[in-house]
Amino acid sequence: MYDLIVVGAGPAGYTAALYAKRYDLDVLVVGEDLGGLCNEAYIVENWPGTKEIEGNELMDRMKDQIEDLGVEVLQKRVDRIEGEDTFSVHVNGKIFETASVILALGADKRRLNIEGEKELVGKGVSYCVTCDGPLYRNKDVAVIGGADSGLKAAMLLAEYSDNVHVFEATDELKAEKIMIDRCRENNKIKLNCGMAPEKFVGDKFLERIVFQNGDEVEVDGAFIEIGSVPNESIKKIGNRKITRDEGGFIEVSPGLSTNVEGVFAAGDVTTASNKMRQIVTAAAEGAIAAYSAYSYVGEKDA
Amino acid sequence: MALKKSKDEDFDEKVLEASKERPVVVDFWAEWCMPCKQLKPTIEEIGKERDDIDVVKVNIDEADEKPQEYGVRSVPNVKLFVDGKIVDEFIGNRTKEDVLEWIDENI
Repeated sequence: MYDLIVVGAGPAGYTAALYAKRYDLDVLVVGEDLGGLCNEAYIVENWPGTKEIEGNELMDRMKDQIEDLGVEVLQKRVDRIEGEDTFSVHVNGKIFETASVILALGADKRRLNIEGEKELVGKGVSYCVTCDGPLYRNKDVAVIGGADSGLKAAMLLAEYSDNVHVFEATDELKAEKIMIDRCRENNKIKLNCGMAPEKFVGDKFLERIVFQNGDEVEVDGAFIEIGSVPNESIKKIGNRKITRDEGGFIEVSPGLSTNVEGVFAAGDVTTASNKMRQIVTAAAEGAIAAYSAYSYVGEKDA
Repeated sequence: MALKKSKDEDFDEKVLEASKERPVVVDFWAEWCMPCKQLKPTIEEIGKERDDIDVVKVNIDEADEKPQEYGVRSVPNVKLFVDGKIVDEFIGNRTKEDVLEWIDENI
């Protein structure tokens, strides 16, 4: 029987495990996607103490740090969690028992849900600039979304391509000013506002994007960077539903407990930290949730 | 041991021809791609464990023509060849169980 099982292996999950292990809890981390969305950040410049680091490098370091302490990290999907007083975490036919759970499920890339998108994924439409950017060397590419992740994507793509078009649906870019300035100074990047895509068109591969205002732009690749949605892979504990808000975020107390006693949540999946969804806020929530789990397990044992 | 590597020159032999004997799973990957790194142990284990299929890894930075020819625009891109033809493919990292299920559904 574990004291704590952390479901999710991003900044929140790893930090929760780090704190829990240092509180001397017996802790296991199970995550389908080690590193989570952070892996895809080609450069992280707002993790304090580190001027710049690649997202996947940062995540590897977090993982190393907890593994050095003796925490096991399983790259598996959690199928379901049962139990009331203690919990059974079902992982591919195996069952792990635990006194408490932290759901650090993270977020998934938001889809546009427009015509042609699904059909052309991997054929020009991509959600991962760090994975697929280098495949578009000297091609014309588009980034859909003018917030931080979109402009970062554009900066990376400009290393491979001379024509990077950024399309923001609203009338203004929502990125950090420092990123907007860098993109404006880069003559390979063209920033366009008020351009909402209507459909992707292409026979075998993406050929052009048609916008709601009737404009059409020919590109070989379109990278979709329009934020994230909370992961909803775990909806219930036994037959008790985990309370989420209308956007799918898990509702939490200041101590990051959920509506199910003994189950806590941390990171991009929660309503906490003003939903800021940064590596630093996810890590902070991981620490808080670990302390709450530690207190909970201690009280139960007493 | 049915885990192999291939470049442009031997792709036809190791993939197309071989797939007429038994199904061939081809993993198009790159050093710089994080999901590729995550998928790597899964692909390699399956290659070593399954003797009814071949698993062929293609580093797209070491092969120009074949990734182009087979429309690789995203990595990792895993394609399943049977009788010289692609029967199904997927993009991105998956768990070992999911990859095995995908193979068994398609061969």
